[in-house]
Amino acid sequence: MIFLSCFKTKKKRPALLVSIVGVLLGTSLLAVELTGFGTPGDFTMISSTFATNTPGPTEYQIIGNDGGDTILGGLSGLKDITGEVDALYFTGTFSGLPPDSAFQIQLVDSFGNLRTYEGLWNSFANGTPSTVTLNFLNQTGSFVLTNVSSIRLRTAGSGFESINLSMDRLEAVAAIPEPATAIPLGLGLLGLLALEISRRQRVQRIMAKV
Amino acid sequence: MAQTTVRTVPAGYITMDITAGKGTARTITVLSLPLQDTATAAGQVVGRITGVTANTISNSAAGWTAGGLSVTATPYQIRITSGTALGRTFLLSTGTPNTATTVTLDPADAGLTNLTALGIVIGASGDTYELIPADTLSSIFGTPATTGILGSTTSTTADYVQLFVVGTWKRYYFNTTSNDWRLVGLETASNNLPIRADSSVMFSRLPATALQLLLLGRVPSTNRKALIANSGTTFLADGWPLDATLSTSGIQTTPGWVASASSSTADVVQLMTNGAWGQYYHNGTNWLEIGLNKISDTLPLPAASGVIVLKKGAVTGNSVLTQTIPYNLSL
Repeated sequence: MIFLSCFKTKKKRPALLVSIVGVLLGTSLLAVELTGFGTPGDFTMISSTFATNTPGPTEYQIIGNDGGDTILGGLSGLKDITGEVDALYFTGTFSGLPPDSAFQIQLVDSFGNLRTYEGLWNSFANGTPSTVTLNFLNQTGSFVLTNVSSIRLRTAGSGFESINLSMDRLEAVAAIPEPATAIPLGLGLLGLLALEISRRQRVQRIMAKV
Repeated sequence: MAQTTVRTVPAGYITMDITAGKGTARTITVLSLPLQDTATAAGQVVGRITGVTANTISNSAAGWTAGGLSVTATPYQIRITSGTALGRTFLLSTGTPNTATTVTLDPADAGLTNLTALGIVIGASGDTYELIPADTLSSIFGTPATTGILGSTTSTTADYVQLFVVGTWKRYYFNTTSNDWRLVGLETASNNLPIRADSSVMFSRLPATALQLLLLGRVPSTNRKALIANSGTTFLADGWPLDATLSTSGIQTTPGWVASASSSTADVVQLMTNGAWGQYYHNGTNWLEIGLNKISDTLPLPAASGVIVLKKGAVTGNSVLTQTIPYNLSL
């Protein structure tokens, strides 16, 4: 299937269903997972000013405040985000009321160039896993898309608000389709899915007769 | 800092740009007030010091109006303009009114410095001073109608201004019910809160529209000496109406500054760069960005901005950062 082969997310999950739902919701078909945070070796802390840094089997927890805390971590090898450069999907669980300030995630290539994305803490739900979109802001130097080696989270608030975040997954994605494009595309994919199911059922009936 | 030749004490204005908020979230802009108003008080606004105690300065020929320099709505600062204390600036008390010849320091300033320990020379050939009006929350940030700041009946839906006051971060917002600036939490009326020349201000903007504030006045005409706490936080003004860099700021030359090859033991400077906080330490040769360890000597410190200084030591007291005036004045 064409639309299955182009689905590049490496995390194990019902990819087809997720892609269709994603398109219907206006999210990208494509994604490159930069880190799963919890996987041993998938995110290795290089430096952090957060008061608490707790690696876990499935997540990485940081506790601090929004007034200057920052964490830099290395990825498991070089990541290639070619074609998936417009936004980041950042999945995690925020404990407590999220700050009303912005934050940034910077991708760092192996030459030290930075590619910066910005999101809002209050896009996270309180206490339940959620995925926040960070939009591309700018970059320094000639960022090499095939050589993403580490990531850095930077805060931008007043320091009055607490951060308690269990980071679960970070993905790079391409431009988010407009709803006017996404809905017909999603309906088309649903049609393809129906055709595929129908074809498999016909094959099964024929095989049963044989 | 690099020297720029200027033939007179320039007066005019600078524009302070406040970054637009996100609508549903805030954006921080760090500001400072590098231009100074002209004193209009009666008596000698510049003169010679004839007496000093731990917390008072006298000029026997001053001729000040009693209490005229101690009005809460129009507070004053005094700057020493010669001698070993050249560039030190103190807020004057509004609780202890001045007399015709003597001014008293604000208790917070007096708590940090004993004037008799500064080597100030008194008498007919003593050191000199100038009086400088101090800006206040209301004189700088005005009202929603005059400057466009967002006021509200509650701080959570208003812009707010954040200062580091006597060792504590405090936030203030414009309350549209009382029609004045209030301290977040205690709701203390704060229109007249003075903003010290050496301090910075954090403006937290909520609406998705930028603001521009005009700051009028004269450029500083002397070197500057600013206090940096030996332990903990100092919210330090950039101090000059010119762009500087981390390196030219001279912060790393402050007595007792801890430079180290390791960011975990070095003193730190924090500033807004590219929309978020960055932290930097000095390794004895260069300023480096924590984490990436990228050399950052030329990182810009824009005019009318400021930095947060984080000293890790446990030593009490303060140290003096001395900055040479970055332009030549030919009066």
